[in-house]
Amino acid sequence: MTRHSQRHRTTTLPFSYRDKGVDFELDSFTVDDGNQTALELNPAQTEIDLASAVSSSDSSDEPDWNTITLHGKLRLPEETVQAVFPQDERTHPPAKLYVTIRCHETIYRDRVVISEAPTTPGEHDVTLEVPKSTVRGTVELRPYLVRTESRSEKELNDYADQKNFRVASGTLYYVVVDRPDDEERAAIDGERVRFSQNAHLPDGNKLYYLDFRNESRPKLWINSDHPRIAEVLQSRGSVGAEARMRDVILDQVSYGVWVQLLVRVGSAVDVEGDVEHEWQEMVLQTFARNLYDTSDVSEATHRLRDDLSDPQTLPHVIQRIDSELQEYINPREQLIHLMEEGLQI
Amino acid sequence: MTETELHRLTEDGRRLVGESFMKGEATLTDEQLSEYVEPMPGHPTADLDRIDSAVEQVLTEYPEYDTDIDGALAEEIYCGLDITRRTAGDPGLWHWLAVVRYPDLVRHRWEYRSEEAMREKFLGAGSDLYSNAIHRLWWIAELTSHGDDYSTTDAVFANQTMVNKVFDRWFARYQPAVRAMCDELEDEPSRVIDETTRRFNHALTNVQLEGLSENEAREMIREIVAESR
Repeated sequence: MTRHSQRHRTTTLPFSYRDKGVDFELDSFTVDDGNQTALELNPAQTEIDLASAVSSSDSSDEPDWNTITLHGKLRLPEETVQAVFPQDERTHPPAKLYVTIRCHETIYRDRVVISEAPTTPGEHDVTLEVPKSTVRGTVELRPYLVRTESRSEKELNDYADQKNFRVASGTLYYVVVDRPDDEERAAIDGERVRFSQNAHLPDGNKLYYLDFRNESRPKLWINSDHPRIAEVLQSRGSVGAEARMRDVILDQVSYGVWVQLLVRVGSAVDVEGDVEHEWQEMVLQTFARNLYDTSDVSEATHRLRDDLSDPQTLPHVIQRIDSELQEYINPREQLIHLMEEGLQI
Repeated sequence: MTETELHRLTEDGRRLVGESFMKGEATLTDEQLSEYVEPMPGHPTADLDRIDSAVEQVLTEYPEYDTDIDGALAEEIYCGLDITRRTAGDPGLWHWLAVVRYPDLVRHRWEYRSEEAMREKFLGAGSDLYSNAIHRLWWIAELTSHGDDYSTTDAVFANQTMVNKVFDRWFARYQPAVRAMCDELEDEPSRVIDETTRRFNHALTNVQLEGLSENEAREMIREIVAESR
C-alpha cells in the first residue's frame, strides 16, 4: 500500500515527477570547529537527534554552539534523468540540484545549491551549515531537482516544461537541535499495529484504542489495518496536504483520548485529592485548573472528582470537558489549514 | 540607550490572561506575574526604552483601533529588539511583551470583538505570522526589510489587505518571494492582491519555492499581477 501511494504521488503532478528520484544520505556532522562525528542511522531512519550532542550543561540555558555542519552525499541516478527529461535534454539536463532548509519555529525557508545546470547523473558531496541564530527545535532538509529553463514544446508530452518546475526530490531529514520543553510530559506510549491480528485489540474498523490494561502507563494503539491513515499519521512535514490531513486526524484522535484520560483520572482521585500514577498527575496539571477556572489544582481536582461521581453534575462536567478540549486542541485551526490546502485558497 | 534583559511568560503564566484582563478591566500585579516570568535562555537584551517611547507616542497620537499604528511601530519594535530568529521563535517572549510590557498597546490597537480573537493578540505567536499583536510587527519587518531600508515594510502596513493576504500564506516564510510579492503589489487594489496571492500559491504546486531567486519570483509575480488586473 505504501508503494502504491508513492506511485500515486509520482503521477499527481501534470508532468513526470520522481518523489524519491534523488538519493540523499547524511553521514556525519560537525559542531563549530569540532571533529567530524559519524551519524549511525538505521536504514530508513530520517530523524537525526542532535539535541543531546549540542545541549548546554545547564539545561535551562541556551545550548553552547554556533553552527552545526551536516555532511553527506546526493546522487542523481541516470534513471531519474531518463524519467523526467525528454530525450534531447538528457545529456545536459537544464536543472539545478539543491537542498532546502526549513525551520517551522523560526519561520525559515532557504536552500543550499549543490549543483548548477547542467546537472548530469552522478554523485555530489553535500555540506550544509545550520547557524543556531536561524533555527530552533527541528530543522527539515530535503533535496530537489528543478528545471532551470523553460521549454517550448510543439507537441504535448509528459515532461515538465517550465523554469523552476520541480522534477524530482529525495528523503526529507528531520534534524532535532533542541528538545521541546515539554518532552518529559509525554506520559503515555503510542504504537502502530494491525488490530485484526491482535486478539487484545478491538474488532472492526476502529482507528485507535486506548489500552488501560496497565493502569500505570496507558498505551495508545493506532490501527495499521488502515495503512493510508497510518502512513499519513507518520508523516513529519509541516506543509502540504499530507501534513494538514495528519494534523486533523491527530486532533480527532487526541480529542477522544483526552476525554477518556480525563474521565479516568477524575474517577481515580482519592478522598485526599491524590492520584497514584504519573500520567494522572500530568492530566490534572494540564486540564484541571482550566476546567474550573481556578489557579488551585487541588481545588479543581476535588471538584472534578465530585462532579464525575454525582449523576446530577455528570452531564455538566462532560460539557466542561468538551469545551476545554475544544480550547486546548483547537480543531478549527487545523481544519481551516486543511480546507485552504484542499481548496488551494 | 539602555539594554534591558528580555524575559518570557511561562506556559502556565498564560492562564493569567482572562477576559477581564483582555478587556482592560483588570490588571496583573508584579506579585501575580513573578512566578510566571523568567529570563530568556542565553539572556538576550534589547533597547526597550526605544520601544517604550514609540509605544507611548502611538498611544497619545493615534486613535484606538487605527491600523496605521502597525506601520508607526514596526520599525521601532524591530530595531529596538534586534534579536535573532531563534530568540524570536520562542512564543514566551511575545507573550511577555504583549501581556506584561505592552498590554495597553494591544488593547489600543485591537478592539475586543471576541475572547478568542483577543486571546490570539495576547497569546498567539509561533509560526502563525498573523497572530500576536507585537510578534506580527517584528516578523513582517524581518521578512520585508532590506538592511536599513524599511520602505517595503511601510508599504505592507499601509495596506491591510496585503498584510492579510500575503502573510497568512506559506510562501510568506521565504524571504525572496515575500519581498518580491510585497514590492509588486504595493500599489494594487485589494482585488488584484487577493487574486495574485491566490494564483501564486496555486502555481507553487509545480514550482519549487526555494528554487526561486528574488528576481525569478518577481518575474513570476509580475506576470500573475498582469493577468489578475
